Amino acid sequence: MPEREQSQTPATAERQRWFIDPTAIMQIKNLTLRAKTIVEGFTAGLHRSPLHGFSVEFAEYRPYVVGDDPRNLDWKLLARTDRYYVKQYEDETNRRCYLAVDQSRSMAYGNGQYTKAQYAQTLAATLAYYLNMHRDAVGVMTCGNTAPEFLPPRHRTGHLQQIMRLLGNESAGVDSNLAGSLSQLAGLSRRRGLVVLISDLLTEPESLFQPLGYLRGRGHQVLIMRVLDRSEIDLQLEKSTMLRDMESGKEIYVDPEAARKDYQRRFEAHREQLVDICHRRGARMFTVTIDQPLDVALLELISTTQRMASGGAGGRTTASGSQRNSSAAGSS
Amino acid sequence: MGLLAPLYALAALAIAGPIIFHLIRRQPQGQLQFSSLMFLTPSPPRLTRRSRLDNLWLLLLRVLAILLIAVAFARPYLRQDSFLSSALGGRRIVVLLDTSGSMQRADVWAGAKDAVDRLLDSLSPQDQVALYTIDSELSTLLAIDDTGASDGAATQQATRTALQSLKPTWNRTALGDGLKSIADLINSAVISGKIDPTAQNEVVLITDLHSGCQLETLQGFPWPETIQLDVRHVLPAIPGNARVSLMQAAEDEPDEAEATFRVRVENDSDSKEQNLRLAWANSSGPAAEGATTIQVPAGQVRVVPMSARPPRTDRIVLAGDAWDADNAAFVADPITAVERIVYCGSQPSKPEDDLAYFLEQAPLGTELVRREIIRIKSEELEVLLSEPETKGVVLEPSTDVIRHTESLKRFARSGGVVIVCLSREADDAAQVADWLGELLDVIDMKIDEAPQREFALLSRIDFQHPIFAPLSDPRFNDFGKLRFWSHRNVTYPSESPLQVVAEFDDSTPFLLERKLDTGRIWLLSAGWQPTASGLALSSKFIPIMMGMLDPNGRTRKKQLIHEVGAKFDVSELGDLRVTDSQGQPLDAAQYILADSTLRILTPGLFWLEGGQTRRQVAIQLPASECRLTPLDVAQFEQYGVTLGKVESDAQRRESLRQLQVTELESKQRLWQWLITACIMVLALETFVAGWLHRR
Repeated sequence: MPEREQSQTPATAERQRWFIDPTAIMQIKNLTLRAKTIVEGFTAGLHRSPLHGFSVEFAEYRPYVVGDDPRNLDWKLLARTDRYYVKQYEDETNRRCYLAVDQSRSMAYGNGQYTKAQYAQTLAATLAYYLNMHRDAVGVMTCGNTAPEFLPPRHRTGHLQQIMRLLGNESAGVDSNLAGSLSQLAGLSRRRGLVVLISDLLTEPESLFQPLGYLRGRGHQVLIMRVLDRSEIDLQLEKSTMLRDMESGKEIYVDPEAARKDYQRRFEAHREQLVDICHRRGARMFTVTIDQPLDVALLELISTTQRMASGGAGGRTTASGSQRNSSAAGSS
Repeated sequence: MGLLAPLYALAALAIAGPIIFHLIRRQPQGQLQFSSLMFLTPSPPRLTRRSRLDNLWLLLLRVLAILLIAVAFARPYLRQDSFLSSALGGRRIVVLLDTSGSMQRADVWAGAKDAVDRLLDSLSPQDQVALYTIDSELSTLLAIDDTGASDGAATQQATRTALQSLKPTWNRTALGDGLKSIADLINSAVISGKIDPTAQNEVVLITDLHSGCQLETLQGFPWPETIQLDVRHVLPAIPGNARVSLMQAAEDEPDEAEATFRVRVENDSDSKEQNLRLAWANSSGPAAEGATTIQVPAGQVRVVPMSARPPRTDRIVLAGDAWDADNAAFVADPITAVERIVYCGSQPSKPEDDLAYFLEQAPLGTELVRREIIRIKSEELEVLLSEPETKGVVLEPSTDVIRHTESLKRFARSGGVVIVCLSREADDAAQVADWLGELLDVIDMKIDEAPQREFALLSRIDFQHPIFAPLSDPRFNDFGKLRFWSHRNVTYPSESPLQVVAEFDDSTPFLLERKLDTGRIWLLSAGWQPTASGLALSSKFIPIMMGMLDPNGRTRKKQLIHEVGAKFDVSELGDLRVTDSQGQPLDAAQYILADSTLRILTPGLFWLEGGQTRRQVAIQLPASECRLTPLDVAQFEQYGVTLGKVESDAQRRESLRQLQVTELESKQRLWQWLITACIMVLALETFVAGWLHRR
């Protein structure tokens, strides 16, 4: 299983021209409509993607063994070759997906047109919409709040609207107690599934080690989508100024020319620490800057789930039978 | 190159502003929110550049703009010597010097002379000077008419010479009248062509300008606008003055010899001293006894009774104030004449029935005349009537008196007063009537007793007559309470020399007057004793008796205290000789005798002698010369006088130069170019600043 951070490949950059400009997307006020626009735009251009195949489709033939249901025999093949083969399909199951959205104060930082929090909100809404469209049960938990809100994963009529409403709430976040929220999520999610954490991860990496272990211990697949502003990566400030920490309120004077090198070094060290912890805990981390199209993140999600499925981890199950869209097959 | 308003060049100091602002490093403005500072360390601003000037070119442009504005406001001009020429015309200065009594203060007079000297020093040789003095009247020393023909320097020298011998007088100040006269003199000289009408006329008044200067007379006077008044106010070294004036002796004093004196002490509002001493004194100095100390705060008045007058003192002196010359209040002793009033009549034992008793009680004397009442028998009458001291006779008709008819008529013709009082019912009325007819030159005169009734009143009184004229005022002319219980009816032919002065309500006369040359014979048809009437106990008794005894007395009263320079009549003194209180003859320059009137020009006590008469007069400093609170010069403007300042020659030249420079500058108008340059510099500065900001 490729437990590593995936950076943007040249092929992705080529595709990016076909994606929707996030600035334009952010102009849409309605969160549901925003998510729908992204997902439909994404699926409309899917034929250009080499990654088709995440659906119920033929996988392979397997020799019939005693005990198999004779209904699954490929009768046409038997008629042609007189061999007993059972046709196997790659069938999707109803996946449980937990979207953990960081709403701490540091997420309120943005490039001016929209903030990381708004980007993360849209991203979560997009994922929820997409997963809901594919009959997966989606749950949402907000992190970094004094009172984290949790919506358990379901797939029923109206659930998506509840998710959108929860995500659309303007919440005044406080200090990013991400570790506590993740531990809480581990306690609340009794059934395994996919945990997608959308956060800037501007916290001590070591504090994430334990909660990630809890989640993994529960059998969850963990995908971390790290949302950052580009100026946070390379300290792109115009002039010397007084900077105020959005979470602690602390103020320091920074001359960006002088501080940039040191900042980048420390930022890189922090990122490496995160990668290391994710690697040790079997989580996957993906960094997205908020000027990138949201489709990229969606593509990453699909790619990750596909890889997870193909790697036999977590939610990948196979079920034989002729029904392509069997929803009653045993899930995790 | 010069500057018309060089003080504006100080605005160039404002360049310190931009320099300071450029030295101040701009502090980081505002804050920037950042998601997390966990990767940042503080990088403090580098302080090494704090004292360095930022944006030097911008600073230079701003400094240049300020300098250009400052120089433009200072109104620069380029010198052109040919344009700046100074040719000044002569002026006419009329010096009006106050020589009134208040200028006797030594420091004030010295200050006034200094002021004239300073004025003359500051004039140019072309300026012509006329000199006048003002006290109670305007005096000419150097007439304005003469200046037209004279050289300026000569008039100035003549002024200096005249000033040497000039001394202040003791007269009051009639400053308003003096200024009016000066203005009229200048106008008439200009109109008559005696002086150049184009020359500038300026009046310089040198005075101590106190509250007694009588400026009120300028009210309504149209002061010529072409004449400017320059007031040089001379003030004494010590401000404030107190004065003392004698008040009338109390009228209720029982004995004139013991009369106490009361003085009124006033202290000026600007006075610094309030502890004053009063003492009796004579020409040699204050008396040892009787001195008293009083407190008179500034601006207040005290009336102080003086102690008994010590012998050989003739004035009350005040000490302790700033100026001593006005501190004596002279007490002129009147020469009291003694007049004898002879009473010849019945002498009852009871006082209420006695006419003479009430005459003795009545204060019939005056300040100048002391009247003695003596009771005589009829046989003494002849002798006493011939004595000069006997001025009046009061008679009750009796057989003994009747014999002296001729003597009485003679006495009356020589100026004596005879009062015949029919106080009682006569035993032989016909005899009395005949005698009275003979005395009064009336034929067929009859006297009989009036019918008995409760009382009679006076009904017709001639208030035009000198006896009743003082009682004609509505406050005093009520005779309704004056009742007569008995009186005699006197009848006489209508063609008679008698004049009825008052009548009873039954139309019979009460008081008849018979004039004989300068004397009088009065006939009273009722007595004043309380058994006959209420007259003796009435308040009207003394005025009526005084009127009868001294019908011309009111015109004879002599004033004893005069102001310096006031005219008073000395016609009764034939060959006049004026001596001071020591008996030394007065210098002829100190008094003026003309047309039987005398003016004495110095304060003090003086004796006037002429023929057999000798009397004393006190000459006081005018009260207006003692009220020395300085006035504000602006008072003149309230009366419409145009105030100005006579400029010295140097100041005039400077003013002329300033005028020429102003004209030169207004022609060149360099400031406009400087302002234009400044606008251009500011535009450039705006451009540079914008460029630097965008960079």
